[in-house]
Amino acid sequence: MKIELLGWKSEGLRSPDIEVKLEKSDGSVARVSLLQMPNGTGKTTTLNCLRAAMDGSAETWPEDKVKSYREIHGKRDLGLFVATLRVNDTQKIIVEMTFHFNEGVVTYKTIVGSKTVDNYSPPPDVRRYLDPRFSKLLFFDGELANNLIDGKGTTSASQIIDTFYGLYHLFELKENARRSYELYEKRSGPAKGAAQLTKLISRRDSLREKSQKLRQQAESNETHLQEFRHEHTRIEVELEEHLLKSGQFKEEENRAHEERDQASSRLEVAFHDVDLIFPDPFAIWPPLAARVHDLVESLDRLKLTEQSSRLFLEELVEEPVCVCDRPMDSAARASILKRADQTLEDAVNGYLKSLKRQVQPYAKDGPSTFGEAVDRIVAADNDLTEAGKSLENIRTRAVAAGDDVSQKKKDALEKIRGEIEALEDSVENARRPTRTGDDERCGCIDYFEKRLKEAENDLARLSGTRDLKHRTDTLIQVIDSAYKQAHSLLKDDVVKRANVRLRQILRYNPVQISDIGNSVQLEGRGGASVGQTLAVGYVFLAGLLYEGGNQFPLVVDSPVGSLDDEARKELGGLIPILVKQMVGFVIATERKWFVDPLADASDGDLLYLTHLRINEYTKEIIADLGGNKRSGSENGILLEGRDAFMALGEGMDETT
Amino acid sequence: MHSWPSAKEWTKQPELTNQQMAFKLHKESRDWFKKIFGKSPFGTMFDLYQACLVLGLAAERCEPEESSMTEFMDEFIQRYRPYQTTIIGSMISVVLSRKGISSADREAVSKEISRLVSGDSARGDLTIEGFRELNGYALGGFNLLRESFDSPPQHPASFLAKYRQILEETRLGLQI
Repeated sequence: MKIELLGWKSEGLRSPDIEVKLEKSDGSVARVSLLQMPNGTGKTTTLNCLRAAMDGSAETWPEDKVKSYREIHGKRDLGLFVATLRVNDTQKIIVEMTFHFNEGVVTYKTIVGSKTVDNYSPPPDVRRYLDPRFSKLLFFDGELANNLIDGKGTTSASQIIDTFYGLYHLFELKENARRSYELYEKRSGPAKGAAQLTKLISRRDSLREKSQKLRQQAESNETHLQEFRHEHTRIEVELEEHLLKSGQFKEEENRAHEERDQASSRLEVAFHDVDLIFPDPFAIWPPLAARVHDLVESLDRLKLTEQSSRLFLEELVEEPVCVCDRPMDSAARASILKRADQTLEDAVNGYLKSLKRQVQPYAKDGPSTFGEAVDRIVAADNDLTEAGKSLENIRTRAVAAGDDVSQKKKDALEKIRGEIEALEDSVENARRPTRTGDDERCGCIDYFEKRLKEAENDLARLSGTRDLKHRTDTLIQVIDSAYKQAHSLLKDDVVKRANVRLRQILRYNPVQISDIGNSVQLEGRGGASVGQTLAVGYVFLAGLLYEGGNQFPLVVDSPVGSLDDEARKELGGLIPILVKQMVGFVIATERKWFVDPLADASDGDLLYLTHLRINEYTKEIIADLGGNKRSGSENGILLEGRDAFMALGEGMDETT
Repeated sequence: MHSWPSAKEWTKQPELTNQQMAFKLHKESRDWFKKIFGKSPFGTMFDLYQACLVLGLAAERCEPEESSMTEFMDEFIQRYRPYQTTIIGSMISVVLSRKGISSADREAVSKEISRLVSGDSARGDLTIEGFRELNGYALGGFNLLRESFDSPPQHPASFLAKYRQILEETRLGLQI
């Protein structure tokens, strides 16, 4: 699926009347279109309308919201926003939104080719990609990519994968199965047990609500925990850098660091040793080897491992003549069978022979390799603790000898540590298994899920829908399992492809994705620059949007926002490599360090647009700006051209 | 006429013997070990089982399987397969000693070994009774750990140090 945004037009809205065409004279769209809109030109209005035109969401906007889009002091009762899309290079889709300000409603009209429909109705194959859950990925602010790495955004990286591949349909399916069952259950409840049924339904619903609430709370706490941990690391690094500036404690701190690193690697080696020997019971506890040696010796004495085959003896009694050539009479048979009874099965015999072989290499009173390794672990762990204390001590002294900044950072660290501990306790309590003594005051998710299951079963029993309940549960289990498998396979594939791309793009200093969870996790997170981090975010998103020959427009509000010069440069050079159509809404202060690398990387395939509201002040400067007038009305103008784009003063953001 | 099986039949649980022939730990063990589970050398449930089992064998403490135990694996995992024979051998030697079976009593030794060992290496070399006995020692070891620690372990290093100390005490007969 290829979708291009060809442009939009607005009339009678808060933003000036304007038509923005992104098509070039040859009919293609520029790889990058930068639309400079100083504050007050209706950037937010335009972005919201574009989003609503694509996903049809304005049909459900509340009355107040619709009315808020009316132009200030405007006399027009109707407003219009029209967005034009092109699908697979050929099919044009025009979505018209009419704002009825008096009524507070928005109505849609969809034009596909020569067919006009009086509602929001894009063709079904396109509609999937215009679903709000998907289309929200096409509209983001410049910091989303960064948030994906930090895990601070409202949309998790993992959810984006679910959205892109439509895995959320599995959740819908699950929810439908559950609802259908509940509907059936309600209908088939016996009249005489109606009161009890109602009570049970209410209990089930309240347990479900509580369980969901706890789950959401735990997820939110986990996100906060991650944020606090990042924040803790950041302040720790800052404090260290700040303290080292003085130089007074530098040598001492370096020595303590060195000791800590050495202890840490000794600890790692000792743990590795224990890891290797742990499956061997004799290595953990050598007296067991002595006991098994004794066992094997007694088996030898009893000749249990050298005996004849039990099967052989059992078959022998069936023969007319014994192996010693005597006839097989009843006395001989009884004697042989008694012997067979005392004989081990062949397989057991085989096991004992194997035991004999395996115990041989062990000494009866061998050393405790486990004990030695544990001694090394304990020693290294003590050294590590001591080194940590030394570092803390140096920091405390440095802070005492230092300034307010150090003290503030140390206080902040202590505060965050407290927050981290409280959140860890809370998450741990929510995620732990049920314990004896738990009741409905506890915050354990597992406890409420178990009670919920019981309530559901009670309900099924009472309403006589046990079999259907069982089928529904089975279906839900199958869906859960399908989701887990699909998500895991898709995630692995996304990581793999993104890493290949990252190695190509960041050839000289590549970072790699290790996993995708709430956030995109990087290998060796500490080493990534802001630019690299952003590169990963964009590679991840663009990788999904352009997967399998797909192509979608990326509408970015403030692509560089508050980024520093270096990060702006890196991002400017990167975006045109990753995307096929990017429409960036910028203000004048974002141009610096960003536009030139962007222009270089897009080989000139960049459309510069400047949109101004016409007022007393702008009337004066429009002539000086130059540029080609691309569209205009009584209250707005759109200029095309790099000179006009770059000449607009940064002060415009405050004056318009 | 062919009819579809009911949902209950579709999802019928395996025979009871499969549940009996499995490695089990106390259902609270996962919670008790949670701070060290997943960290070296306790990357798997089997590692925790091994820690409990060896301690149970060292202390000769076997407790009857109870409903509070849950299965986590029905065969030796790859990492433990090379030691499957010696782990079971350790259990046999402890069982014989604990039951006071004389090493000269061929019939009793043979009977006890047959009770515990199947020799079917694909199914862990153990009979149902063998699994039950092994799980009993693991339970004994787990309970001994719970009694010896004031609170659940927090770090693998401190756990291992204390674990080693408890093992040493079993040698001196202080912890049975």
